[in-house]
Amino acid sequence: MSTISPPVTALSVTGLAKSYGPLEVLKNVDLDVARGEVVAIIGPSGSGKSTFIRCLNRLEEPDAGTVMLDGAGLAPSLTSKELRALRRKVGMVFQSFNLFPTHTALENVVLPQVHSLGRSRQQAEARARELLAKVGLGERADHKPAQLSGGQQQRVAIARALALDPEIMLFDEPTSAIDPELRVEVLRVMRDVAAEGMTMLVVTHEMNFARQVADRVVFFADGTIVEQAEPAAFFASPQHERTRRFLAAVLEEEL
Amino acid sequence: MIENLSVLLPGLAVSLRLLGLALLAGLPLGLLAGIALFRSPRWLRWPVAVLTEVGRGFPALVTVYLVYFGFPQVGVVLNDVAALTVAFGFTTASYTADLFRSALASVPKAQHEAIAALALPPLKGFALVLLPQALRHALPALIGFAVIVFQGTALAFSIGLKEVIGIAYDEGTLRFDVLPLLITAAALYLAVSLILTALASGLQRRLDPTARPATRRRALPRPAPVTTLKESA
Repeated sequence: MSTISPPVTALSVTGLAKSYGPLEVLKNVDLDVARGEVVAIIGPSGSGKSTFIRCLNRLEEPDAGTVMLDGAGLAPSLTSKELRALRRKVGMVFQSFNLFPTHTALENVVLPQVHSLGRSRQQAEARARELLAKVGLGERADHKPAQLSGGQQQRVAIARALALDPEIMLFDEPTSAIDPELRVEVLRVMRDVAAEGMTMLVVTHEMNFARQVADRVVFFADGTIVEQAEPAAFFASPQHERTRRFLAAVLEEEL
Repeated sequence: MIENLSVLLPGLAVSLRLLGLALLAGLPLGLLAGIALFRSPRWLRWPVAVLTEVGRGFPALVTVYLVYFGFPQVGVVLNDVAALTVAFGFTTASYTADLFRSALASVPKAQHEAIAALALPPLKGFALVLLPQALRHALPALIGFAVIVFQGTALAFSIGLKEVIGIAYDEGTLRFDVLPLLITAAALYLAVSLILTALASGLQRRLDPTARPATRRRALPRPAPVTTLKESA
C-alpha cells in the first residue's frame, strides 16, 4: 500500500560556481533533487560534473552558490565540526575506491562508524557484516583491499559509505576504474541501493545505468547543465545540439 | 677463527646494545620530528628542520665527541653508554625524521579525501589511516638505516668503550697481529647486516603481499607515487 505524497526536496543547489584561476569549471549551476530520486550526471570530460558533486560534500570549496540539504542551508564557510556533520549525511564513492589499504574490508566499514558516528565496535561490526553480505562480499570480510578485485573493492567502498546511514549518496564515476566485465557487479549493487529509496547522484559514463536506473538524466557541458530530462525522453529526443553530439559520440562507442 | 669469534662476541653484545638504545631513543623522536616536518605550524616546523639538518650535517663522530667531551663543559656529565645513546639517538632521529616525513607525504591525496568524506576527525584519520600506511612505507628504509647505525656503533671505540672493533684492536695489538681479528670483526658486522636486511625484505613481503621483493638497498624511501586520481572535472 503506497500513498502518493508530494516529493520532498533532499538537495537544493542554487547558483553554484567554481573557478580554478581563469578557468570557470562551474557556472551558476542550479539543481533540485527529490528524496529517493536517482540522478545520473553525464557529460564530456572537463564539463564540471565531478567538481559539481565534489562541491556538495565540500571536497571542493565552491566560490559562490548555496547548497540546501534536507531543507537546512549550509553556510558558505563551515567550521570543521559543521563540515563533518555535513559529510556524515553525504556518502561518497570515489572512482579509485580509496579504501584504506592497511585495513581489511570489514575494518574499512567498521572504522568510520566507530570514529565518525561513535557507534560501539560491536554494533559497527554487526552493521558492517550485514552490509558486506548485502554487496555480496560476506565471505571476503577479512581480505585486505590489495587482495580484492576492483569491482570488489568498489563494493566494499559502497558498503563503507552506506554504513554511515547517509541521506544522500554521491558516486563519482564509480565504474570508470574497473575492468568492464566486473562493472556489472558494482552496477547491480548501485541498482539495489537505488531500489531501497536512497537519494543518489551518479556521475557516470554508463549510459545503460543512466537509462535503466536513473529517474533523471542531467547533461553537463562547459560548466553548466545544458539539458535534463527523464531517461526515456532524454535519450530518445535530446533537445540541444550539444547533447545530440555527445550522445552520438558515446552511443556509437557503445556499439 | 672460532677462537677469534669467541673473543669478539662480548663486543658484539655491546654493539647490539648500543644499536638498541640508539633506535629506542632515536625512532620515537624521529617520528615526532617527521610529523612536525610533515604538518605543523611554522614556529614548530622551523626549529625542527634546523635541528634535523644539524643532526644529519654533523659527522656522527663529531656528535659523539660533542656529547661526551662537550656536555661536561656545561655541567652535563654522561658515562660512555649514555653519551653514545644521546649522540646516536640524535643522529638517528635526524635522519629518520625525513624518512617519516616523506613516508607521510607519500600517502596519496585520495586517502586524505576518503578521510574527509567519511567525516573522520583529523587526529583519528591521521593515527588510524595515514600513519599505518606511512610506517609500512618507511619500514624498509628504516631497517636499512638501522644497518648503518649498527655499523656506526664502531665509533664507540673512539671514546674507549669496548665493542667489537675496540676489542679486536686491543687483542690484536697484544698479539702483534691485528688483521685476523679485524677480518673476523668485519665478518661479524656483515653477518648482522645481512640478517637485518633479510628481516627487512621478509617484513616488507608480509606487510604488502603484492609488492615485489625488495632486492635493492635503499637509504631513502622511493619517491611518492603519482596519485592516480585523474583530473576528473
